[in-house]
Amino acid sequence: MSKLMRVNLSTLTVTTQDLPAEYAEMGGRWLTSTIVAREVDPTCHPLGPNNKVVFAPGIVTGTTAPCSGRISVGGKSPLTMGIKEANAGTPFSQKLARLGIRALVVEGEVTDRSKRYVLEIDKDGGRLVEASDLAGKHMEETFAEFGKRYPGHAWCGVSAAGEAGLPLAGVCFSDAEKRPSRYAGRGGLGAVMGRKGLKGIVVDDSGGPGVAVKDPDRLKEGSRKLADALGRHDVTKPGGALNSFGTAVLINILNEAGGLPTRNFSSGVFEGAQKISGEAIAEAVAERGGKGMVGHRCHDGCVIQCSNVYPRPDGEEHVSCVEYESDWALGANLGVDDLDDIAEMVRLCNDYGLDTIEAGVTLGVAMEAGLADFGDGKRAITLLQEIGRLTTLGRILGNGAAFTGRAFGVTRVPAVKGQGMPAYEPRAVKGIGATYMTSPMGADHTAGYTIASEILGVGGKTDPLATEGKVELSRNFQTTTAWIDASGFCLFTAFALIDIPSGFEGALEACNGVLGTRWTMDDVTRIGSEILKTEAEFNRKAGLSAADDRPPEFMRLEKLPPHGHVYDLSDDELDEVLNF
Amino acid sequence: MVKTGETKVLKVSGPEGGKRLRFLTVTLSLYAGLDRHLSSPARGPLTVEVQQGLRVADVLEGLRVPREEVKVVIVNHRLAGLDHVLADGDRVAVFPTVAGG
Ligand code: SF4
Repeated sequence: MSKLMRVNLSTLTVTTQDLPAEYAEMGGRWLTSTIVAREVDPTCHPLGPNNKVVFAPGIVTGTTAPCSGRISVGGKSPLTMGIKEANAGTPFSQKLARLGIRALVVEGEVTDRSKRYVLEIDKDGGRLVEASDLAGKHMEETFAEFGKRYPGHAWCGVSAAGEAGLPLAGVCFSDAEKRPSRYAGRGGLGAVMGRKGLKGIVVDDSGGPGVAVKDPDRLKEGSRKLADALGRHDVTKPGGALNSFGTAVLINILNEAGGLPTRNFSSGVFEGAQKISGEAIAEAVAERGGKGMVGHRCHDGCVIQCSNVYPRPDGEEHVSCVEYESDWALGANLGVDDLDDIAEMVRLCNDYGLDTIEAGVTLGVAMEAGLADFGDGKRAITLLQEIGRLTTLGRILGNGAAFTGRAFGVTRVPAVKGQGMPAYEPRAVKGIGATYMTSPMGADHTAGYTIASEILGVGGKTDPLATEGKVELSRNFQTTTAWIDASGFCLFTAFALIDIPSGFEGALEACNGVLGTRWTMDDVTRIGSEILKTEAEFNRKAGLSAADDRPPEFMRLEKLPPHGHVYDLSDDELDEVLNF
Repeated sequence: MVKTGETKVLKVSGPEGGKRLRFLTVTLSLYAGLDRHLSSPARGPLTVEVQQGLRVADVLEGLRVPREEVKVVIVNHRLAGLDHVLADGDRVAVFPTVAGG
């Protein structure tokens, strides 16, 4: 029987119940957003006792289905003040699922603010154990300590920045080798968890019941079809683009298309793009030898393996991983073209428990304010260290790009609903802008990745600079993505799902195998739109409105080089995107 | 191997061998491993002298880059096709299937 576990930090109690019947078919984002919408007062203070943090593995997570070790984390965001779901790939999720735990709800807050707790979960249930000695520790130290206390477990945790309630803080999960590197990063859920006094969660699945599977043959057949599609598609196959160069293979193509946001979104072209590209990363790995690698996986069972380990000049490990968003946010967006500086900033973000995207966008705004010169990677590193030390400046930066813009009087702040924009310029790629503006998550590329069609030619081709058809394009991507985020499959499977029909069939069949359902493509649309409606309704009750589904004003006014476009999807068009 | 940023000059002519015909100069970047088809790989940009009237496809053929590996062509920051006729000073970028997030 599948379970729902509740942990209350006010009463220091853990209870486990059977998963309520109405949640039986839900997983991942579908389940976190549904529980948040039902149980969290939309007007609550996100860092107060009435907010909750909900963890949910995907539907197929913990099974042998490929690339399925994803976990969703949900709650009310202290960054956007709306609903949030952030997800990551990690063995933590597989272990939770194999214990039969489909949802974990963290509520309340410690009464004694000096206390910290770790939640231990195993086949016998869950218990809170005091770990106040870990208070104020960042992730490297926290995970090193977990390594001594819980060597057989998978872990998640929050840093000192999370404990301090900074909205830059994400929830950090262990990767396949137990690095603190896989983040449910966006929207500040690490701050929500940290303020509750919960320092970490450790999971051991040994002796557990495994994932309850209704129709094992169907699951097996679906997994086979999906694995076949992933193995054939040029993006996802072994030796394919993701496997050979990592996600940073996108740096050059976005730069050539004039859509790589540069120096705080003041240009779409970065002259240093080549130097920070996925090709340059692969070259550094090959030349430096040692511990560096491409084709790394965040959890066992991933066949795409898009991750990397970036080496120092002497071949020692510097950080895992330098992926596209982090590389861009801390590179092109800051005018920095030195991969070693970028790697150091990624390492600091991983250690301080920070979302690399929000950190990079915030530093871009800080540079605009004159706190550092664009291109000065060393100074950018010291600004990040201010956050790590929780200085007054660090706490301002730790509140994100929008807050930093207000603190220093900067109007060029690339954010929607208070969340910094990722690595695609909306004025050069209009459909992704529709996703940024209208996603209930705030500016989030993963919510509806129209780039596939607008730049990459995957799933059909559309002109990135045109506005026609972008309302529907964004809506369709957002709907399908919401379903994928529920399934537990990594979003990067989508490239093969979109192009190879038997791949999508396989993903559906795998879910049907676990749940005993008969879902078809119609159900993907039904479920995806239901998730989005639930999230939009929460946001409305939280006080967000159509006025929050808008680009920052400067994008309506300033023409972006090299194309000279402003953001020109109209307000009316934006209002149509999620008008189901 | 030619490193990032270094320039290499290649000459691509059409069937007439380029006699009495004008040549244009374009820059060409072959990304995400497509440069491995060159006799000496170069992570661009290459400077290529091209006979007037040739298309992107002709240049790639001249350089022995297999057409089936080419997914996206961008000329002067705009998506273009393999049949784009080259003009003097064009900045040409060629990609296999790539993706990420
Ligand atoms: S494709 Fe990348 S992010 Fe997705 S599961 Fe595999 S390693 Fe993790």
